[in-house]
Amino acid sequence: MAVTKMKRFRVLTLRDDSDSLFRLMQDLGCVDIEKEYAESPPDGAEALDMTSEDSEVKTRIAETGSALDFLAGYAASSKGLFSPPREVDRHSADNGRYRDEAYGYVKRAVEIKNEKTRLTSETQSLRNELAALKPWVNLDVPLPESSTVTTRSVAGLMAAKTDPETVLQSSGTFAAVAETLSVGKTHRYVLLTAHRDDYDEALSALTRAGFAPTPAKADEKSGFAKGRTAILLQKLRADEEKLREIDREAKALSEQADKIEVYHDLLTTDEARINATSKMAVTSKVGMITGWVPEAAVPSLSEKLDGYGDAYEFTDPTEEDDVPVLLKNNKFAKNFEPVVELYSLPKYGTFDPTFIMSFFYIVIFGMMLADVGYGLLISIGCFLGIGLMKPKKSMKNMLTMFGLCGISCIVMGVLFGGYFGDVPAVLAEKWFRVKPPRLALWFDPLTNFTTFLILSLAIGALHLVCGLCIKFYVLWKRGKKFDAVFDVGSWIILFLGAAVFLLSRTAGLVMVIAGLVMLVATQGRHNKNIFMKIVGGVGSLYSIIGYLSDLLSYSRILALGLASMVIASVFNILGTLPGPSVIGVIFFIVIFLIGHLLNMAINMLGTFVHTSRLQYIEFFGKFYEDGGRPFEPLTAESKYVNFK
Amino acid sequence: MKTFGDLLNMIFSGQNLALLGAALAAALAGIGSAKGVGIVGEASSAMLQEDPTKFGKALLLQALPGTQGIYGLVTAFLIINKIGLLGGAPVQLSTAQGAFFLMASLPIAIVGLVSGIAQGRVAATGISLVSKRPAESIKAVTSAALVETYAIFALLISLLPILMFKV
Repeated sequence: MAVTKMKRFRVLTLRDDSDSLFRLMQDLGCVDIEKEYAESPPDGAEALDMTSEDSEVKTRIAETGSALDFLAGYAASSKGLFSPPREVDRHSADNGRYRDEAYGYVKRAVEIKNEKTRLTSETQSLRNELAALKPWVNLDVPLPESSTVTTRSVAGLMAAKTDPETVLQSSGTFAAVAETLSVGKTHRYVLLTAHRDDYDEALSALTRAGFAPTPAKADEKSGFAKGRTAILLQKLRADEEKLREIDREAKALSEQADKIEVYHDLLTTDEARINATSKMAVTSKVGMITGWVPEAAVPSLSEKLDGYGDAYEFTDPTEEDDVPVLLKNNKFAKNFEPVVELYSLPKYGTFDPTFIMSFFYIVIFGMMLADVGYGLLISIGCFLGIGLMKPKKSMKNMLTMFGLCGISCIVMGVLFGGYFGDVPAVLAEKWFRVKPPRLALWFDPLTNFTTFLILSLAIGALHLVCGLCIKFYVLWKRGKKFDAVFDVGSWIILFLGAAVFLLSRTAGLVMVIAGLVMLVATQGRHNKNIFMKIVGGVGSLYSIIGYLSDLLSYSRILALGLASMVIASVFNILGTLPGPSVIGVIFFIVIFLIGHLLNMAINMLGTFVHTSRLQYIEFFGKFYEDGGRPFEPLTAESKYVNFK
Repeated sequence: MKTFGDLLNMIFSGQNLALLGAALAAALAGIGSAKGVGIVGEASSAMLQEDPTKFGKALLLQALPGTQGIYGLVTAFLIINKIGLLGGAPVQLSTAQGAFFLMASLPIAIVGLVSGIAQGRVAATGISLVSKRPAESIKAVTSAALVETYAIFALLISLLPILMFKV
């Protein structure tokens, strides 16, 4: 339960050695590399230009990603949603031959991908052209237009129901013939032949009636429509054969997808290292690297560095340093770190509340969703997810956290009688006509909601006092003992007095008065004027209102707890309405599944948000100093596989 | 029916007043949710045109203002159940008893209407956070879900009198 102590790490290395040094640090994964200079490099040194390396690796990553997307369509067995990523030993995979082989596959995959795109669009246009030619295959004239010495012809389409001959006749006498070659469902295919002088008039008469020249093109050289069709068909066959060939090759390549995936992750690992390298400042011979290392990792890092003969030093951070923050917690509490991270990491050197928070989190979560059924589903879902997906660290922590909260829901469900709402009671009463059993081991919040409210507020009071105690501890440790005792201690005495008052009147009253007197006497102490000292002291009592509103905020435990129970029971009543017939049972099952899934979804989200809120605002508000920068060490970055 | 007074008595029977409460709870809270979900839906469709892969995250935000409608529905259902309209004999209610249910339905009806719309607005601005920084989308969800606090409090105050009512 602490923020890990960090050391500033500086090393001077020969420029030529720097790459192997960065590789070493990446293997150890314990150094957060910092930019060596803020704006411009120090005198005599220069920035290290890594832009060309960076853009090359980025291009390769993009290529590899697009190759993998393409090949995924050909993979023999699609990976299941829950299949865990493979474990790969990075060092045995990372050699020039492996990389060249994989990049060869990538280049080939990208090539055939582009070729496939080209061929697909080409076959499409071939098919379009063939379809346009089809009505004219028996016509031995060039398409769409042809002419002789005295006549001109044009082939085209018009609506099936329009007769072109009638159109021509009704528009005057032309030396023209409109021959219908065939009639399709919607169109008829017409060859208009006219004397050169009458051609334009005849064509415009037909055009007004909806005639349009065919898009098909064929000339004598290609053997008119029939010959052209044969040529196009041959081309289409050849293209289709090429496409099949590509599919076969892609299928074969897709068996290398595993290698390409590893290569992709090797590249992202390179990218991370290149990014870190560009933060160096260099002279012509020497490079300087700065970073942050957790104190615990210092011995192992210096042992490795001694082999390099570089000059290095570890120093303590100074006041001005922006030290990255890494939380350190035991096996139980580290699962709750995502909740703290979601808010904001604590500043370096301040208190990490994860351990204390985790207990309150788990209890409050359970009370807001007190149901054995929902708890079971959440826990099973989360632990099954961890087992099947083998998720990475932060996801695994989050799932474990919800799994633990699910167990808390089960316990609270037993105490307060939630089994998918009140399913056992409703079924007993409505279907079996027996007296509903008592579900709650402790008490039923629906009938004793005042007891539940008091319980909620009591947990809230404990939570708030805990927050104040942390503040007291923090101030005391920083040597601000007066502040700790007077600003925080007096409130703690006051609140503890209020609690003791419920047990013993006199003792409680004495403590409350002692707390009040301390507040009035000390809270004005920073004012110079005696009059202002009194005003400040008495004015501080106004903060009681703030604490009261904090306390009342915990009534949301009751509100969310009851809401989930009542909504569940409404679905149960609705489901049992038709009675215990066959249809009734089917109806019940459908309503049960839909209703409880909906209720669980709404309330899980609500419970998560409101449990977190009680930590962030009511609890953290007492002592937390946020704004820490997360510790992001240079490490192997992977997407598809887990590097060992 | 003889006089205007009799007509009024008939319309404002205990049963009808209780039903009016159920209707208000379902209708007003439902309107709040419909508006809220609508506002978020408009914002998210605009974003999804650019990047359809964020549908899941956008859907979560869009679903948030939907809960007020469910709270209204639950309240309405409890009232209808309590006055015996769902199976069993309808309970004879005095006008005062009917008015009791009407009053009880008001918190969730009013707060459901307003908070549904307010939550929709917050969630709609959260959509832009999702589109720019998808990894941070849980923060948008959290701030939108906080608006719901007051709908839950209102639901609590609507539910308690209804649950406590002995017929």
